[in-house]
Amino acid sequence: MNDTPRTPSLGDVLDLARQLAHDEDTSGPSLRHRDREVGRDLAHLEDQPLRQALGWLQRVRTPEDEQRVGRVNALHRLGLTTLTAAGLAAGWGGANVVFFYDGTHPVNIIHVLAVFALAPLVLLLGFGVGLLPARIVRRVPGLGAVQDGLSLLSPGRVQHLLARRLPQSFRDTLAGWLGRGQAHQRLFGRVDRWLMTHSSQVFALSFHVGALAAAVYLVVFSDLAFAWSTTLQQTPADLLRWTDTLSAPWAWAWSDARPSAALIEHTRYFRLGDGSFPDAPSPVGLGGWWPFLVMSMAVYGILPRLLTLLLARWRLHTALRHAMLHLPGLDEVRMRLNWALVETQAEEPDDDGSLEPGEPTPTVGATSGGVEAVALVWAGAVTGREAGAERLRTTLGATVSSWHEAGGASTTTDDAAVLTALADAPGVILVLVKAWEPPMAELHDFLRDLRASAGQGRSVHVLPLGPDGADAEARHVDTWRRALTTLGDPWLRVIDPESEAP
Amino acid sequence: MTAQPSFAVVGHPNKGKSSIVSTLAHDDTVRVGDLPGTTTRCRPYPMKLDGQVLYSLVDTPGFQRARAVWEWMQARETTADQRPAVVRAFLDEFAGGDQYPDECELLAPVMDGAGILYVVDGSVPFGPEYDAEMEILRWTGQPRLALINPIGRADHVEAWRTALGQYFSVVRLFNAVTADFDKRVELLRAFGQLKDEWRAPLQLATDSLVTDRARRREAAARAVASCLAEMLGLQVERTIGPDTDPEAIKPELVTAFQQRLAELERRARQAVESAYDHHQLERREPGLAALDATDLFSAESWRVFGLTRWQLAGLGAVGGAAAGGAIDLAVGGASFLAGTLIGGGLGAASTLFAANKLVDVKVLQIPMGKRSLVAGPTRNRNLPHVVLGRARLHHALVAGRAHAQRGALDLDAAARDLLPEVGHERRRGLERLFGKLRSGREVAVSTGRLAELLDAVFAEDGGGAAQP
Repeated sequence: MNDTPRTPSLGDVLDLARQLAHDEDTSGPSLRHRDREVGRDLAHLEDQPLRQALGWLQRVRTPEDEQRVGRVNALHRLGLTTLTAAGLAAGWGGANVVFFYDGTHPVNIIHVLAVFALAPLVLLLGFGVGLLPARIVRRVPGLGAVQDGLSLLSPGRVQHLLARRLPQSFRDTLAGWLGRGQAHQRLFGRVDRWLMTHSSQVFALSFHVGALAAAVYLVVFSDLAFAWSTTLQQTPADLLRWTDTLSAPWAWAWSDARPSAALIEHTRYFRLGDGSFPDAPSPVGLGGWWPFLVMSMAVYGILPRLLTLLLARWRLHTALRHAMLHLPGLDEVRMRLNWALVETQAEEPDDDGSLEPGEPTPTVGATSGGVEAVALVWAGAVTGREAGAERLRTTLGATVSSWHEAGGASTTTDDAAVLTALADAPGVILVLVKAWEPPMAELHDFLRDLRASAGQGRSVHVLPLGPDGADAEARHVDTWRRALTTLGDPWLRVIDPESEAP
Repeated sequence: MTAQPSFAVVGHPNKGKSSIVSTLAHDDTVRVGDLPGTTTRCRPYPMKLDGQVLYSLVDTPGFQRARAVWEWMQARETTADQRPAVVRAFLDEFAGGDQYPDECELLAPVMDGAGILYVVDGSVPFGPEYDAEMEILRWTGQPRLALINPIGRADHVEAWRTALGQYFSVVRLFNAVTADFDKRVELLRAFGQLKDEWRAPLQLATDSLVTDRARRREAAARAVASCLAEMLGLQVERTIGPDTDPEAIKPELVTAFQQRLAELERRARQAVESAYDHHQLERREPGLAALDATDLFSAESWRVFGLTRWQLAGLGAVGGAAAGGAIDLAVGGASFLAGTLIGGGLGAASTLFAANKLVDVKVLQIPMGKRSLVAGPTRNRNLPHVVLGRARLHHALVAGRAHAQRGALDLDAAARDLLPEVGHERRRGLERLFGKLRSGREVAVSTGRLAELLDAVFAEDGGGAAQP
């Protein structure tokens, strides 16, 4: 997609942090699904992590998120606009003060140079100190403190004031991330530093543009008289050396913007002696300084700040890109975007109703003896009848009058015949089953049919047996008890030899 | 015929069909119950690569009335080539009814072209009640594979092999609860042997699963690396009043720090489990051993405007220098910058002296300063190694755990001895990266490198992928 941005905005970075924090509480499968879908759209950006991340962010954010991002960026722009306006106003006002001329005293070009050429160069030193990398700052005691102090004086701090108007979710995200440790603090610290630096350079450039505009305005629309005056012992020749040095960058292109020795000589001004210009040839010559002053303001005021603004802008974008790419969690997003999605799970939820029956079928324990019974062996649960009869006699005290077979290898026709035989035989009906095999529907059918043929009130006892007639495991007996509950037969019991006889 | 291979997992109730599906589909939401009839409807588990289905497993209800169905079919037997038609006729007559709902449900996907995976329990004896089931499946005419899944002791496997060999061309022993990833892949490849046209999609599917497995391990390694990175840079801060004794706050802060460590570790555990699609895992794990408070309190920071005392002094120096500079300007430089120097020095000194006094002073309702007590980053050099050891054990157990396995994951400390020793070179690499993370520099890069290293360690631990 060609609409994917190449550079993240401040809002994008904060939104990414918010989205990553949000994703921490989202299930892995849904994230994989969501991101891979986006990843297939952005496959052409796989080798461009930043653009891919921005594209991903655009696609996963909601309209509300979009609004919040817009608000962050708008606040950032508001800060820059405010600083631009403030800078222009301050520069315009400052120039009007410095170039103030009411006909009594001429405008002192020494003053103009000090404010609009020398001071900016000195302030650039502060900017340079602010740019020193951390590894140097760490080695010079106190330098870090100076750096921090300078940042506190930066007009860019207006962005911090505006940050209080950030959407709550972003402020929460930011507070959460900054509270997570050094790595996060460094990441956002770098963005914050260059955000402030960039903003302060916007102010500084605006200041100088405003000052230059005011100077040009005053030159064009008023009659200024320039002179030079200083308490220091400076001769015209000294000043000529200074002005030649200062005008060197443009003298080759605009010779009129380089003060001549005669101009310097004729515009020396003394406060005493009625403020006279002893060597002034004519009032017209007193305005001859303006090309030099304008060029000085442009070259020593505007140009350096333009360069520092561009540098700060580049570094801010670098910091934003760095923060964007190094936010913990983004690598995981890129994995999800770029790795083929392998799914093996069911697409539909398991909506089978609960099969857990209510109360388990009651059990009967071993009886003390004298019980007459008829035995049904289901699916070959007992292989030797004699051993089985002995087992029933010793463990249950039951005397088996007849044996029958059903289930397993028998046919359903055989089963039907057995039903009749069981119904006709006297005593308790003992159903011997394999404990390890689950009670299946065909046995349920058989027991229902048995109840129908044997009649209500006839006791039917189911005895789960282990392999080779051994005792059944308790868990198997429990399974049988729970499964037979579904029959709802009050005269049906599961025999548990371990439990007490009723 | 379905377009992609499909395999219906069929068999007697409670013989581990759902366990097989759960393990092969890496799905721990499959209901595995000891009551017969836990599964009442077919449930497909499509294996998809970027949305493209490569094969499907279908969990089915168990046979419930196989003898009656078999008798119905026998009564309509004509010639061998007509047997599948008889099965279809059975479905036509009984589908949707309540006489044979389970058989209809399980035979429907088979007659739609699914291969048959017949599951039996090798820990219990073979019985005649299985004959009818196997006969019905033979009559479908579909490719068939039998899986002996010993739910308990595998005492009856040979008897089952003999019986199953008469009905199924391939008979495999496969324990759904203990099968590791390699065994699962091997079984899936065997599915491809059932029919020529299934070979290629199954090969692609298993290759994709192997690649995916390696990526899941990588994701798990990254989760653990991120956890370690965050732990090593962790700071917990409390703002305290001007008269509060920091010593009284320290225990509370230590507790908060340890809770945060535990939270980070818990998140990493969940991420690792999620990477391997274990979403319902109950974990039993002893907590991290308590840290010594002296390990945490590397900094008790005084802060005003969020600055340290030295930062504050710098601010004072700049302010003082600005004021002094104004005097220098006023005298036209005649003071030779003395104002700037003196102002800067006075500013720094006065700010240092007055630092504590600024606490809680408010101007326009904006707090001008605060005093903070900061715990961390930890200086405990052993912490990352302890955390990593625990993470390795957890990863190895999770990566090797079949999805059919129910019950809690018990991270018994003694089992840690089962993990292989980390080699000298890797140990040095780990220590170097821990050092970088502790310093707080190049955290993202170091975390990435740590993830790569952990990926290799995890692979050696046994959580790795099979080769395609």
